[in-house]
Amino acid sequence: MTQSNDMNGRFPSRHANPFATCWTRPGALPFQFPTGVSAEQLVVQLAATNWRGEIVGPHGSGKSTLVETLKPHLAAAGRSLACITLREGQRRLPTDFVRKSLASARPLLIVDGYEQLSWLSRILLTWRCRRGAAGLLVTSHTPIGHPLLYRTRANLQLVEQLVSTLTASNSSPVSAADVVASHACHGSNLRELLFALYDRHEALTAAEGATARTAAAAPA
Amino acid sequence: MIEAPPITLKLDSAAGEYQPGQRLSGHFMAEGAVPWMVRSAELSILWYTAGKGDEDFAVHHFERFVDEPGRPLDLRLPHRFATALPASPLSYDGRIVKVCWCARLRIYPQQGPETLTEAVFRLGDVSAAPAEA
Amino acid sequence: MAPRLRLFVKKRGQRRTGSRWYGTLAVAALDLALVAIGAAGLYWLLAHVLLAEKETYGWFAWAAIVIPIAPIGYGVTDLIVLVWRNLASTERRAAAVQMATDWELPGMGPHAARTSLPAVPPIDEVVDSAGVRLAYRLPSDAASGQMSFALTFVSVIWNTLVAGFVVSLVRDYYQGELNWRLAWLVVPFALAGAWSVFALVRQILLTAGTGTTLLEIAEHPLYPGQKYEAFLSQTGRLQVRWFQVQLVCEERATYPQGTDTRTDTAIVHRETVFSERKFEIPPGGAFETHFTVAVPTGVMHSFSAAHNAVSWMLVVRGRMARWPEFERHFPLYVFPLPATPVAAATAISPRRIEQGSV
Repeated sequence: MTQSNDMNGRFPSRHANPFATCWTRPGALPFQFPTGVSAEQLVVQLAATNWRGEIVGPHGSGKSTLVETLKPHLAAAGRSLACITLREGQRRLPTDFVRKSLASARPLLIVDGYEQLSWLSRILLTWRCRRGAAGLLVTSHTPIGHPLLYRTRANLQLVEQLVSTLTASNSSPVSAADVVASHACHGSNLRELLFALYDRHEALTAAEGATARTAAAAPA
Repeated sequence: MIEAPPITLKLDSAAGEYQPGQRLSGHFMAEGAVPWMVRSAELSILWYTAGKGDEDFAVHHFERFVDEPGRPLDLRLPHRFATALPASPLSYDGRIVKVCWCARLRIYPQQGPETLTEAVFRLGDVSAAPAEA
Repeated sequence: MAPRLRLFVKKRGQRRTGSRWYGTLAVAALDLALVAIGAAGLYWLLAHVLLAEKETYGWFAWAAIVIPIAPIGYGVTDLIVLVWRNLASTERRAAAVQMATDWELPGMGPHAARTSLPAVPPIDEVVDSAGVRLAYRLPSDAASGQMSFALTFVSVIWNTLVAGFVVSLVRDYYQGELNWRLAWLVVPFALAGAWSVFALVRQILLTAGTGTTLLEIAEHPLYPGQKYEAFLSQTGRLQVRWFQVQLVCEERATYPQGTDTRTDTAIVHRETVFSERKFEIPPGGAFETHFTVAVPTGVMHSFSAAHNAVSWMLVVRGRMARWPEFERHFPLYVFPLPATPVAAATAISPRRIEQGSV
């Protein structure tokens, strides 16, 4: 999408804050891989473990974002993807989800929020996938017994990389020190960290605006 | 594959500021002399939200321009649009909720992916939310 | 490698994985199959049952036609929606929906507040409630009342069920046939029931102890830059340490992220419009006062959408002796200022759909 007029900052728009959810939600922001790691490599690794794997990481560390980034590569590898994101308290998979997913050729089930499932649902799902020769890729906050595909963690370098990507097309008065401070406060919880930077951007922009208005109103 | 030419989407008011009930008008066109074959173009005047929440949006005005055998759609010529703006919602630069107005042009070429161009404007005189209340 | 045909691939409603067109074709095939099954069933029903020679059925037998018609209707409707979704852009679909909601059914008048002020919540719940001293009584934010109601409902249902088991157990005991396993099983349920009663009594005492707060206002809706007379009445046999009314504007944003649904709020305006310290409310009496609510100029009006909202409210807060601090919310509705005469004069008729170039 291109914006044909440069009213940024003057008028409300999605470009006003680079940390707004439209830019940071899973799928909007590509997963930032550390040096030496790529989506293609992870797909090869997953294939080597018979398409079983888990993505482990704390809250807001980018597990869903990594899943979104891997999806086109998994599809290109010939897998039929069936995805579900489990909400808090959702202890069972929807009726017929597994049956319909296993009906396709070379299925790969992706369960985001696997730890929400009861232990019985997990055992059943694993058994049905094994029986149906289907792959199973899950995300979880802690290791749960599947081969570890990737452990998400947001170190400071990754956070700086993310912020740099976000502010490449939409500028921000947020400084490097702000990023360091947010990381110190929120650690690897990228979700909270980006929301904190959102608030920081708003505060700095409002302060800049107030200063500009005061300067404009001051007598010459 | 023919590359999409630069698109101009311009509002007649240079300031881009409007009041509820006021007439908003403008034009769009494709730059360049080379003819660009398009199937259709859609012009919407809409509002959307931005900030910390999921995006909401609603279309206030919608026009579709179609390439027809008797009436070819030549975007090298300016195509005008106009509408009366509603009384709400007003543009709002809030802290976690922003209400944004724009004209959005979506072009479907005969070949290649669709293009999307926006021109933002302000509706009303609502002040930006303060940093802390 | 080309993506394979998938029968069902969907994630979180609108987003899909893999090839969109193969998935669309699969759904279309399913819809056609439903229509075919319905048509075959309808033919069989008519040819072999309802219209068969030498067979007579009452009128009610014809109601069985609903059975084959249902899959036909579903399949055709889904096909139409499928075609529409795949051929129309997001903006075009939204415009069509908006046009449909503007249609008026015979006998139904237009919803004036909604069609002329899009995205502004309706004010029916305020204007339908007449005040005693002033024109309108503001409804309280029903949170504490809802809590009391919910606790009452749960407590009554739960304890009724538990009481049934207890009565049965007591009867069995006196008959010498007590089922000890069942008896022990009932114990945790009985404890939960006792807790629900305790929570309910506590909630009632908390609500009743701080008395009733009534707020009335002279005009509604409110507009930026205007002042309004308000009236407050607070009952309860209370020694009040401090008591204030604040005009508050709150932004609310909801966002599903990962497995969580996150709701963030931000107060963008908070102004004390009334404040009083250290006074007593006599038993059987009420503390009453008039005050002025001034809506600042240039503020955002009330706004409501599926995931985002801007809400105004009067917040009554206080601290009574021997009771915890309490807070009650009374929603207000601020409308945008009416269009100016100059702006109205330059207006043209709104919205043309499917027009060519101007």
